[in-house]
Amino acid sequence: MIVGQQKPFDEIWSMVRDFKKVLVYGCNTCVAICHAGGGKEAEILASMLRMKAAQEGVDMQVDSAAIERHCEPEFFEPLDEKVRTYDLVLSPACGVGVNFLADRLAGAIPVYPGINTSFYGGVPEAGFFVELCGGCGNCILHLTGGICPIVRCSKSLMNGPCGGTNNGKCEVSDQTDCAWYLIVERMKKLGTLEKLLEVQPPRDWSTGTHGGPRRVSLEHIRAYEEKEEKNAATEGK
Amino acid sequence: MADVAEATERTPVSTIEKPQDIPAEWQPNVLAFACHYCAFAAADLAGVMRLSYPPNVKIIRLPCTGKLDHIHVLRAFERGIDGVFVAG
Amino acid sequence: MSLLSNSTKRGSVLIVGGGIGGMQAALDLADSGFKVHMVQRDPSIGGTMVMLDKTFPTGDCAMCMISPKMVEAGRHLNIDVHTLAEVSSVEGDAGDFRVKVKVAPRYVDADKCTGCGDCEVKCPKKVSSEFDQNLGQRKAVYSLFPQAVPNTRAIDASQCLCLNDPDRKRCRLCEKACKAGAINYADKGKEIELNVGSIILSPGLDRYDARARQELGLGRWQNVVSSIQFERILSASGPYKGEVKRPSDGRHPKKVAWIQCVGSRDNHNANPWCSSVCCMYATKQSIIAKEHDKNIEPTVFYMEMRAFGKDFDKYVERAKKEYGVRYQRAMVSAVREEPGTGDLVMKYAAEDGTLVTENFDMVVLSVGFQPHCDAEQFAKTFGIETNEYLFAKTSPFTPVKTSREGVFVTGIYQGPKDIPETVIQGSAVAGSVMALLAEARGTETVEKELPPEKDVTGEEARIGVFVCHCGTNISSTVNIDEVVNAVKDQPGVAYVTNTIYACAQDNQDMIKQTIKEQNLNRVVIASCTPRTHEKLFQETIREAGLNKYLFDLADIREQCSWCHKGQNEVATKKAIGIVKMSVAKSRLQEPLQSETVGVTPSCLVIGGGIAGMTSALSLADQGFPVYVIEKDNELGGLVKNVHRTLEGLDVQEFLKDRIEAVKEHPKITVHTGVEVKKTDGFVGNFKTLLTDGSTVDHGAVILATGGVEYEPTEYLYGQSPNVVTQRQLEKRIAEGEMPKSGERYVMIQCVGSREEPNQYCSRICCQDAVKNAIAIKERNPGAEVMILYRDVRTYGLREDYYKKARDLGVIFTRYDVDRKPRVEPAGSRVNVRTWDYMLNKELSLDADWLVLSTGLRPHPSTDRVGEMYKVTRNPDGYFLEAHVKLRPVDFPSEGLFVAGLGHAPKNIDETIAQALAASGRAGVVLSHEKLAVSGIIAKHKRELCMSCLSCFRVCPFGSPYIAEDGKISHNEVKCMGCGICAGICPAKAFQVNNFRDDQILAMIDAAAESEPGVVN
Repeated sequence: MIVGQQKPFDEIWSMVRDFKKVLVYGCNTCVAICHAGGGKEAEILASMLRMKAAQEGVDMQVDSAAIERHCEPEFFEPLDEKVRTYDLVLSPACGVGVNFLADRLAGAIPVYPGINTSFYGGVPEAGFFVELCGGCGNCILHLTGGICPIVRCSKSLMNGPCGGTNNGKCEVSDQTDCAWYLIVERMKKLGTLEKLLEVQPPRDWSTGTHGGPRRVSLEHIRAYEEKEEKNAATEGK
Repeated sequence: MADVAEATERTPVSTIEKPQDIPAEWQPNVLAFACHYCAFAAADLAGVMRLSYPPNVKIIRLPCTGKLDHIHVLRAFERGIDGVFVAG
Repeated sequence: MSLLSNSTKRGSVLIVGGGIGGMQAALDLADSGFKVHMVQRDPSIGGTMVMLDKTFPTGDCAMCMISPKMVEAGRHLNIDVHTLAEVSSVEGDAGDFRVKVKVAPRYVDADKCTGCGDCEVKCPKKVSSEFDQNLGQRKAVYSLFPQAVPNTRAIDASQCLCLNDPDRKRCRLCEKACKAGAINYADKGKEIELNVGSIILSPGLDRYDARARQELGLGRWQNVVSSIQFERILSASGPYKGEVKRPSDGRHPKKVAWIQCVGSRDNHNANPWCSSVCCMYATKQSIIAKEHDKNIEPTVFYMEMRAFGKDFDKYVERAKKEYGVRYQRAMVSAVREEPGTGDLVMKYAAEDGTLVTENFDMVVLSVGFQPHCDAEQFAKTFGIETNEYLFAKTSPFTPVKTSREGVFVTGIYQGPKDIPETVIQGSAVAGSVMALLAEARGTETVEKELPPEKDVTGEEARIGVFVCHCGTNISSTVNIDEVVNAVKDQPGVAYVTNTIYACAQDNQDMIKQTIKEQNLNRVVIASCTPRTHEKLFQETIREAGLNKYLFDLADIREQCSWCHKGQNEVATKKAIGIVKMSVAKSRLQEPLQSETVGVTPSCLVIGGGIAGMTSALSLADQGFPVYVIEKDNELGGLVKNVHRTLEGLDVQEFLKDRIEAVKEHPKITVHTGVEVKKTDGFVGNFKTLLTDGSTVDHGAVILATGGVEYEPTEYLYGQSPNVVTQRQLEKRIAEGEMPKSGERYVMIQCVGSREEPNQYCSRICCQDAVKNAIAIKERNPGAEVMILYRDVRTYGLREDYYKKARDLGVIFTRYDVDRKPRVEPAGSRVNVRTWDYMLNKELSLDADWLVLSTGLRPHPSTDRVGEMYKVTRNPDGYFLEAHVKLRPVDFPSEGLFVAGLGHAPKNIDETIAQALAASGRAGVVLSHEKLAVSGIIAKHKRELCMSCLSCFRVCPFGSPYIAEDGKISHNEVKCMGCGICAGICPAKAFQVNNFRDDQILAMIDAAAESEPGVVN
């Protein structure tokens, strides 16, 4: 899931201070699970902003709301009209949600981010999130025992550890496991250690974020949808 | 989840006090959230022992302070409570 | 099995002594279909525990833990508490005893008294308080302590001015003060006769009177106090309100010394046994003292640090490292006062033998326990045998049975012990009684009949508010009329009135009447604390046909009038605020239904060792089917390797007898060579799949997974044939080995215990060493035995055997963990070198036999079983009980119990007691056809839930679970209503009944609207 963390309150305040009517608009999916931007957090943030405004002597109305997901249009529809009555939407959804809503509002009113979208991660324990995937677009986890060297190795090395590996820890921080240490241990257990002898060629990073925005199109679903759209268009004529 | 209209209705802007100078005789209105099993029991014991403390604190009993929600504290402040005390 | 026919057995039990052990037994029995009569000598139940400030090793407040139990026992429909009472005679046999009880006059009518305390305020006679150990004062009409149960005051006839006037004309102020008319100077007491099926003795203890040790200065030097006095000094409700100060001048002491073993382990003018708890309470007191005042420098003078219980060694380590408590191994010969200063001068021999003189500001004598001074007569009254020290005589195999059939014993009367051991024995006697009186269960208990509940759903709130004067307790500070006027116009309030005592019987009737007349559908009573009175008033409105959750109690006494005396105006304003908050909540209250679930009346016992078999037999005797599963191919467990107890009893014979009894019992099914494969369910309704493919439905489960002995890798074990474990030596002795003259046995203690990574005491090894050493010496006094130890932990009455070993010539030499013995091969022998602290030099010994006292470990299956039943283990791998003091055989989740070595290392008698306790606790669950689920639970809205697992991970009771569809669901049966789930849930999918967010927010709003208390 996508993991994010609320921005420092002062930063949020500096973004919203000049607006008169603000909606804190939460998303009840990933960011709710990481306690950063669901309906509950939106309500908390709105309350804090109201008090800050009162303290600063700023006349500001702050309300909160939340919907199921900020990355699909249909969820927005019930509140569309009301949202447009505000001067600003402060969105504690992930960056996807902020983009999506900003595109939808198309310049009618601004959408500002309430959180810093951090990474794709897992939740091994309550309140603890770790990055486990970099979304590089070219997965090699079958070669590395299910441990991703792209994000879990500080240097994204592809052919074994660097000289900084330190009793299973990374030289960057003793809180961080050395991914290549983990990979070797795991592959020992899997009995596939010899796979590591195969040298990985220099990596093609163009499948990552370096080649512009990426898209995925599922042809079997798109084909049906496009047909429906075409039919609708024909009927409309 | 909170509807916009509901949210607006729940906390009218005007209820929040503007900052002001503290009058000399002013006493804060303090609200305590106390765990039924320990802090609330302790407050009872203070009474049983006739210990005297300022009367400007009122207690809301919770089954456990783990039940306390951020929004309870924030709501208290928004409505003009001057201090919140959580004990458990 | 008793020879009596079924028809003669009574379904009631007499419990003599209302301390924590007696209360535990009473609640277990009364909750499982037995009528209980509790006889208590004091005017209140509570015993010794109520005098304590905090408890080790968790630092929990003693009163906070025991007070709810006292209230529960005091209010229980099937427990009759007879205070100021003593048993005068006992006739009859097991199943049918006739008991005469003498009840001393109380001079206060319990039926009329509301416990308001007005009498006490007016009483002019001040008396030294025995509860505060003469450091404080009480009145002649008094309650033993603030939370006393029953809450009825008593008049101390020896002190009362009126009762000491032959004409009864003097004073009578309490009579005038009592608005309930409860004072009765003519009270003569009474004698009552009870007919009970069984008797439980839990009379508790006396403390050694340290004034007998004149050289230590108690009673002579003011700043020498006993440890129980120090408990009162530490207590926030004690004579100094928790401030640590010196009795002589009120100055805060800096250097405080604890002297251990005062009156214990001493044959001269004191008691030979070890009191078992003093090492730990001294550690606790020094920690708590330091927490109260960081300038205190505690020193504990001790002979041996007996931290043998679960997590005790870690506690002592913490005291040393985190709190800087100094432990000085030395006997203090005398304490004297420095004239004019109140300071105390102590002389002791340091470890290297030099004589040290050191000054202290205050000295605490750690006094030991002993049976009551009238123990001899007490035993005669009940017709039971005692041991030579006047403790009730029991056997290690039947630790809670006295010599008289049907008469059981729990707590310190059976031998010195701490609170959890006492609680375990409390449940153990309950289990034993349940087995003895099985067929009479439910024959003498009563149930309340209630009118049908009125349906108020959809009705507008019609709140009735009753504002209580509590005599003058509230009304002398809070203006009741103003409160009544202020809430009259609150939305939803249909009726407001005042009442002198809301809790008095006539006013309860008035409240019920008013509910009907005014057609009220919600009730707020503004009086005292919900902690003691909520249940009473809930019953009242239920009797009037209202759902009991349509009630709220506004505490304007404990939390208002009593702490704001003399500030009438502001106190009244605060009271108005409190009542308005209650009314705001009350408006949003909904009737709540307590669901019930059926119970499968059978039990699964995991583990066929002595713990599992004992539990199984007791439950089967209670009449419940029991399934015992054992991993090995035969029953017996670890005890298979033990031959004799320290006392010399034949363990193998006992084991054989138990195995046969288990196999022959018609209610017990044994599965050997079998483990748990999968399990599911909750209290009353478990379903467990076994590895042999069979499925067991059961209402409770006892985890008796046992332990294993540590297999040593140190000291040449396995390399030299001369190195053996105590268990191997025991076997050789049992097989008839005769030690030769001149043969030398060296034993090393704490092998694999009390060191990282196993920083805990295995509890049994000191006794094993002493047991084997005595056996060797008894067979051939010419053999030489030397025990290298760190602390000899022969606690309780086991101390006798330590002395016996020394008398037989066994040599005990201490070693330090930093200077462990070194062992090398030496031809046909082994050479052991160890530092001797007495001689200050290294000893070199060639030993024919090096015997290692190896510790205990939890059984390797503990983790897996724990994971399956979702119960946690402590860092050492032992099961973690629900509460180390008061719930030592329970788990946080109901219906699961623990017994034996899986819980912690322990001796056979302790394992048996815990196994009986588990059977008692399980018996409580299984004796119910249905279990009621509390109304105050969290409600889960699945449509809001996104299965983020926050609740699942933080819930201490395991009530949220991942359902078959892979999403979170909530098992309300397991829910205890704490609301941690509601606090953490990011989707707000949980709301706790009667503590819903809208209710709390309404209270917050009401609190904000009401004026702050003080606006001068």
